[in-house]
This record gives sequence, structure tokens and C-alpha cells, in this order.
Amino acid sequence: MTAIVELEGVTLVANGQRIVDDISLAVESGEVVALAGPSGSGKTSILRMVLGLVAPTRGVVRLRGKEVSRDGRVLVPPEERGLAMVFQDLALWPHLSVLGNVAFALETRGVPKRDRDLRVSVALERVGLAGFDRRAPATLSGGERQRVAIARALVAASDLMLFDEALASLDLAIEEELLALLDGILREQASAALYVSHEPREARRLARRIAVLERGRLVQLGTPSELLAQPRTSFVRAFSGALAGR
Amino acid sequence: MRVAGGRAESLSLAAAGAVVALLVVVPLVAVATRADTSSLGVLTQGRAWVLLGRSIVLATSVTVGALVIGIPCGAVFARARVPALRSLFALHLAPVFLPPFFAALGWFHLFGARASGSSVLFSPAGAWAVLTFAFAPIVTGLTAIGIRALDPSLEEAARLVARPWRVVTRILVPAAGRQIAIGGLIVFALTLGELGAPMFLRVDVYPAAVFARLGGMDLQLGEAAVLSLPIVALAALLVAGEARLFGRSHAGALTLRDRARESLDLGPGAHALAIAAALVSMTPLLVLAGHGMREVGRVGEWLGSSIANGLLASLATATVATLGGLGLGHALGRGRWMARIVTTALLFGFFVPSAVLGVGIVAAWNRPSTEVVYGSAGILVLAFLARYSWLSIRVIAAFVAQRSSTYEEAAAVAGAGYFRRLARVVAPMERRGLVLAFGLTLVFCLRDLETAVLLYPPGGEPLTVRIFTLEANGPTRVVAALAVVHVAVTLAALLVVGWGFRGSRA
Ligand SMILES: Nc1ncnc2c1ncn2[C@@H]1O[C@H](COP(=O)(O)OP(=O)(O)OP(=O)(O)O)[C@@H](O)[C@H]1O
Ligand SMILES: [Mg+2]
Repeated sequence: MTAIVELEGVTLVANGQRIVDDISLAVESGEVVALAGPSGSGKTSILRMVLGLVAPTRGVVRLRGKEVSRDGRVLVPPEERGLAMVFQDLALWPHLSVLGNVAFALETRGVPKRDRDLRVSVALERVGLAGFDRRAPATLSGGERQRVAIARALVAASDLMLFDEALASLDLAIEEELLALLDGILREQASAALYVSHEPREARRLARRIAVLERGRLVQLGTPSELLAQPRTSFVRAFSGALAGR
Repeated sequence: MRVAGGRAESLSLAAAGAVVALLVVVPLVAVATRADTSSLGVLTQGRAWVLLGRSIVLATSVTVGALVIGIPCGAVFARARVPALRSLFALHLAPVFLPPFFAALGWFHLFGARASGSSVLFSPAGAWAVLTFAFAPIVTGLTAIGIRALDPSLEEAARLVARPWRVVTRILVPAAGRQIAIGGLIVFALTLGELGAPMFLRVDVYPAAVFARLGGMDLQLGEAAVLSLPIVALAALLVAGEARLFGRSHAGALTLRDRARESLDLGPGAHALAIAAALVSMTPLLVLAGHGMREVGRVGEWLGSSIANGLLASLATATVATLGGLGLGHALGRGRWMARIVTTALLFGFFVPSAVLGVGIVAAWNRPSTEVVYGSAGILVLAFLARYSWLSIRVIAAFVAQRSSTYEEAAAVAGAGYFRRLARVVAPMERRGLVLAFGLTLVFCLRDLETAVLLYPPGGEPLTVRIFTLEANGPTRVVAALAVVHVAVTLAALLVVGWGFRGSRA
């Protein structure tokens, strides 16, 4: 089985600082890997390199077996990587309606209008927002916005979805509901995912393996029970303890 | 929570309101009252309406042209990966800080000497082209500000699915639509009020007709006032448009955040566009400089005190506008209704063509009891304030609105009253905004011709007016040399302000 995404010796230097330090990591197709680590440990930076929004200073990024970035160069631009992402701050385009936000990717790919509308309404229905097409993002509640962002990623039907703190700052009940939704979607689509989260609860729920970063380095990678059994750092111990605790 | 302003703030705003009423409302009312029935005849002449129609067509077409040029240029200057982008941007922006008739003079020296060229230049089409190129950088600048203030993730989310140019056209430009529309409004208002370039190019426009009523030997104030009425009505439409764009809660729509991010690869076309934009802006100025260079050493006798006249009035205006703008801009940024009303009145001052505002100021102030003001440079400062203090208030409001009010709340809890909070918390925090407001007001006063030409006191004309009047009958090389001097003065002012801006980085 080939890896859907593979980082090989990836290092990112900005302002003379090693933000990501020699990381190698592979995600199998259909596999969900959680990226955990303290604030500033380089989680978002890794996603940005996978997306092609920044080039790794050194190292190689492969997507579906093909080199897409290498040693300071983006070989395949973001729009040609066929990825989907839920941004930490959601990044819903304020001048477009819910429909416009979700349909944008399909429009860009030239999907005919009839087909597009159908796929958008299926996606909106899937996230529980049927009938919200015409609403402006600014008029939605926090949870509804989150759902739009998920629908926008969902409609792209990518085999690799990236989530950056997708469910942060929601109350527990809604977080639980959306977790179930994401879990269902990832299973239906058989998509692989890189899931960045502070929350052990989310990691446990969605991911088979957890990669723990500290100060730009990959300190441990394994299943929750492996992390719990042999934590290599105090952060891993605390994190996996919380995994087991709830 | 928002700190209740308390009595001190309300009283200050009321005082500011009274001053602004004196500056803008009284002159506009004076226009209306001087428009006596015996003069209403001018409006029944077809000529007046032809001129008005021509002015509106010119303003509309210049606005369209400026948007067509300025929007793509703004996107390129905001986001493209192009060598020397910042320098090219600065060169492109240069005309914003100079009177458009300088550009007209430059194009004249380039094309006007030949019969074919001059027949195109001295026509409505020529005026359109000159003004479009002169004002497009305003749209460019506001588009760039709008795009750079957007949250970077909006752009990144689009880049996952769309090519760079599509990201620009479908996401960045529409999301910056409000700032772009404000740019369009400003271009429309400036074109409508523009006197220098159309008069030089012998294109009759409405403000010129108003001006002619005032400039002649006999002051036909009544007729000038009547001619002003339709334009005041038009300005009311512009003011309503601006109110819609800013809305009730959008004091921050001109926000000046600048988010760091990687630039976009917009292809070789972007590079070409950036170079062309800089060239179009610089060509008339370079031609003018080339024409006047040899005479620059000998302009002393022609200058008189005009540099000092302009600088002093502009500095005084910028100082007052910045200090008053601190209070008003702060109140506007915090959504106070009184500030909104006062700013709207000042917006009239900006949108009503100077010729019309001038008619009102003449009508209101040209009487024995106010001769001290009318006969001195003070009248220029009053007129500049009426016309340009809107800019400084808007800029300061944008800075205040994007800062959390908790800093002021903390100061209030610590016992600081209104003035102390303004002086010790707001002013130091927003010093970049204050420097920018000061600089913008200063430069807009320095570039002013329309207001000053009507109202300058005897012997007190600023350099722009001196150049404009000499242009009619003076030696062309001297006129060009004086323009070079004016550019140098403006550049020096910009450098000082830019240095202050850099030094005040928060
Ligand atoms: N373009 C940049 N220039 C300089 N430093 C950067 C840049 N991007 C990120 N950093 C720094 O790199 C480090 C890692 O950032 P990153 O956003 O990847 O962390 P993170 O793990 O996602 O943190 P959080 O959990 O807080 O979101 C931080 O210290 C950040 O300040
Ligand atoms: Mg992050």
C-alpha cells in the first residue's frame, strides 16, 4: 500500500529559526493521523507544507507517490494538489454566500451548474445545513460556520483532508456532534486525514495513530496505547494520560 | 463594555460639531441663501445643464477608467511576486500627491507640440485620459490596502482550489470591494471638482463655470451660487453612497493592517503591468522635469513667498486636523453617533467641488466684520480644514476601530478621565495613525489648487496657484521648473512624514 502523503527529512527555517526540524512521516491512504503538540511546535507549518503554501527549506514532500515539493521549491502548486482543508479560523469568504463558499472549488474545476448544485446540496445536507444556501457567513453561529467549512472541504471529495484545530473553541456538545459528523464523513469517503488538535479527546476519536511534535521535532509516533505504554516525553505522558482518562 | 464617554467627551464632540458647522454647514447654507431668484435664470439657460452633464459624464468615465486600471494594478502591487515591487508601487502612486494639471502639462510637452497630438490632448477625450491616469493610482492604493488587510487564510483557502489569477478575481478583489468602491467615490468627487487640468486643456466643465463667475472683475456671487446648487445635490448622493459603504459599524473599513504572507505568482503579465503602471505615472512628470530642468536655478524671482505660503497653511491645517481628528476619529472609531454626524458634514466638504465650497466661503466670510480672517492666510486654513479634515478623521478612526477598547477601559478603571485617556493611551497607541493622518492632510493641502485659487489672500498665493496662473502667460520652461520645485517640496514633506511613520512603529 502506498502512502498518500509522505514527508522525508522535512525542515522549515523562517527568520533563522528551525520551525520544523527534520521530520519524516507517512500517512497511508484511508488512514487518519492526528498531529499533536504544544502551541508553536510546528503543526500548522507542516500542514502548510503539505498544501504547498510554503516550500520546505530542506526535504521532500510526496503526494500519492509523486514529488510535489523539494528543497525550497514548490514543484506542484496548491491548486493542483487536489487537497481539502478546514482552516483553524475557517476562512469562509465573507463576500460569498454559503452556497458560493461551498461551490467555489467545483466552479473552478468547471463542474456544470446542475451537477454542482446537486453536489453542494448533498454536502450541505450531510453537515446538517440544508436550506442555508443563501445565508452570508457573517449571519451564522459559530457551529454553523464550522459546518460550512466542513462542507466546503467535503465537496472537494479529496482522498486527503487536512484539519487545523477544526473544532477548537466550540462547546462540548457541539464538538461531540461535529466529531461524530467528521468521523462519519472520513469513513464514508475512505479519505485519509491529517488532523491537528490540542484535544486528546478528538485525537482518540478520529485517529489510528498520533504524531507528537515538540519544538519542531517529531518526538513520538504511534497508536494511543503505544504512547500510553511508553511515553518518551512528559508532554506525551500528559497527552496520552488524558487520552486514556476520558 | 464600552467606556461611557462621560460629559467631557460629549461636550468636546459638541464643540467640534459647532466648529465643523461653521466650516462646512454655514458656507453651504450661504450658497443656498445667495442663490436669489433673480439669478435663477442661469439655470434655465441650456448652457448650464450642458456643462453639468459634461462634468458628470467626465467624472463617471474617469471613475470607470480608474477602476479598470486601478483594480488589477492594486492586486498586483498588493500580492504579486515581482522584483522591485515596492519602488514601482511608489512611482505609480506619485500622481496622487500632485495636482493633475502637472500631468496635463507633462503630456502637453510630450504630445501637444505636434498638431495631431494637441488636437487629441485638448479635447474631452484628452482630459479623460489625463485625469484617468492621474487618479487611477487612488484606486490602486485603496485596492492594495483592502487586499493586504484581508485575513491571509481567505486567500490560502482559495489557493487550494484555484489558480493565482482566479484567486485574485474571485476572492481577493470582491472581498476588498468596499475599499475599492471608496476609491471610486473619491475619484468621482475629485474629477467633479477638478479645475486645473480641464481649464488647461480648454475643456469647459461645471466648476470652471462657477469659477468664472467668481474670478472675473465683477463678483457674480448670486449666479455662482445658483450654479452650485445642482452640484451640492450631487454631493449629497455621494455622501449617501459613502454612508452605505461604511455602514453603521464599519468605521474600520479602511483598515490598514498588513498581514505578512508569501506573495502570489501572477506570471510575467504582472511584472509588465507593474512596470507599465509606474511608467504611465512617471512619464509626464519626467517630461515636465526635462523641460524645466535648465531653469530650476533661476526660479527664485518667480517663487516669491509662494512655497512658504503653501507650506504654512498646509502645516497649520494638518496640525489642527490631526489634533481635532484624534478626538473625532476616536469617537468615530468607537461608533459614537455625534462623531458620525460631524464626519458626514465634513464629508460634504470633501465631496462638494472646491469651487462650490469656495462660493460658500466667500459668501459667508467676505464681509467687513470678518475681514481679519478673510483677508489673511487664515481663510486658506479654514477652507483646507473644511475640505480635507475628513481624511484625517477617517484614517484615525480606522486605526482606533481595529484596536480593542479594553486599553481605554483599563485606563478608565485606573481613574483616567476622557482627555487623559486620549492623551496618554489613545494618542501614543495610535501614533502611526496620527502621523499618517497628518501626512495625508499635509499632502492634500499642498497639492490643492481648486480651493486655494479662489480664496488666497492678496500676496499669499501658494505655489500651485502661482504655477497655474503663470501657465496662462508665463515662460513655459519657468512654469515647468516651478513644478519641479513643487514636486521637490512635496517629496521632502513625504520623506519627513514617512520617516516619522517608520519611527512610530508600534
Ligand atoms: N512565516 C513565519 N515566519 C516566522 N515564524 C513563523 C512563521 N510561521 C510560523 N512561525 C513560527 O513557527 C512556530 C511554529 O508555528 P506553527 O503555526 O506551525 O505552530 P503550531 O504548532 O500550529 O501552533 P498552534 O498550536 O499555536 O497553532 C511558531 O513559533 C511561529 O511563531
Ligand atoms: Mg497552528
